[in-house]
Amino acid sequence: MTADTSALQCLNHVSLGVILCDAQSLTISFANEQAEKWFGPGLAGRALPSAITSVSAVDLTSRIKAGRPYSTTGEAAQPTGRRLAYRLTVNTRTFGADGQLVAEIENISKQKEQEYLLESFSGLIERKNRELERERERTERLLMNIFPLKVLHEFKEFGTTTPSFYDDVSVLFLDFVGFTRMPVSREPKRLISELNEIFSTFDQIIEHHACERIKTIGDAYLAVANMPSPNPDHAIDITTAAMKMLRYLQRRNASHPVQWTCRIGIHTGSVVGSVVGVRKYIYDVFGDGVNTASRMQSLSEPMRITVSESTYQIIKSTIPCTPRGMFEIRGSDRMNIYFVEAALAAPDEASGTDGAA
Amino acid sequence: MPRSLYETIGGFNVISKIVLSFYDKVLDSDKVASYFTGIDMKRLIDHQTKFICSLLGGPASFSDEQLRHAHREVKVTDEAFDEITALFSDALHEASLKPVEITQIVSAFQSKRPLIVSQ
Repeated sequence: MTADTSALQCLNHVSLGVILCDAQSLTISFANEQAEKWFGPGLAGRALPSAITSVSAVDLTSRIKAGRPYSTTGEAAQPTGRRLAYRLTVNTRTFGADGQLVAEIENISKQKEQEYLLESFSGLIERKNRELERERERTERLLMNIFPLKVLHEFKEFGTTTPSFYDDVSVLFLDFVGFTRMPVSREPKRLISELNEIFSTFDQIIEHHACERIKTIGDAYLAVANMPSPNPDHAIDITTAAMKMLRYLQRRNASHPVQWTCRIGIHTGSVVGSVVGVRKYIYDVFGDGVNTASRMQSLSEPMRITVSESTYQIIKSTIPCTPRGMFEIRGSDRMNIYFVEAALAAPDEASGTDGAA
Repeated sequence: MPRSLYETIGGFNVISKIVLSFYDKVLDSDKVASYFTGIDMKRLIDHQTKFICSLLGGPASFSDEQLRHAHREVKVTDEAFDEITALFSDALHEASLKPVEITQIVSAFQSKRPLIVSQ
């Protein structure tokens, strides 16, 4: 030992743990009081890696050879029962001719406590955030069932929506014939489940044709096109969707004991769309366009589509229709109405909704 | 929605003070430190953070079952639990909580006694 003994005694008065060891054998030649307090008495003479188990002999040697400091952290049990978190840093120092390693050990318990606390807490927060995110997605999915996407965005941004007037909207009304007399009425659970299945398929057909389902009222189904998102082909699209809905029912009836028969009416006119309700929101449509479409439905016949004059004028060059004559629409208002004739033809068209059924 | 105690007392800022000072006091106590001998810091702090957060209605749910399970192997006596309660109450005082909040939190803490003290 070339270092002065009295100089080493000074190291007993520092709060750091200090250990000197041989660069080759890693045998400890000196440990100050703090080091012995933390790691037990009698360190001198032992190899550093066996005295302090977090030290890896291989890593230490390779770092020292590279001329770099070595550092490790660990925890050591204390006589008080408390554990000490420490950081040990080893540097090469030359005393005379001998290469000595000097290990400095700091107490980092406080730092570690805070680190662990933060880790634990951020884990809690992250989990909470994931729960909130899932909750938000559930709410959003629910809202998307109630509101058209465009209205949902407006609602989310402003917390409210303004009623909007749309002057050229195609409205579809569908109602089942003799619903209350259907045999499954005696088995309400089965009836509802079948209705749910049918309406779900209608939803897919409607969406596929860029139309928007507004609501179902009991066994009635209401959809629109060209609102709230624009669709220039609204009349043709909603009539095509109606044809596919009929075709789906026909195919379904062919293989099911319970027969579902509906009437469909379509009209093109003006409509006001708005969110109504304070606590129980619904996006609903009002106005002449809706009333006339409803009237078309009631004037229609089982498994047929009836369209008003205004819809007919738009679709006549694309979809074959036959005139039904003048009918009273409301009070003294009379109007020419038409049957859509393609409903029972062109079975190949149904291929587009095979997946939906 | 009513604010939880967790929010009223000042959220994580205050919780962290409570957790660290409670941890310190428990490990420095002659009467109870022995229960924690050999338990690593990270686990103990994690446990205390979750426990205290859930006691105050913070972002953690520590079920009674988990609490019972964590102490099942440890023979905690009533005296030791009293001491820990006193230390916990000290930690709340040091974090400058209002007396009414301290009473409320300590009684919530006390209610966990049957889960922690071995029967």
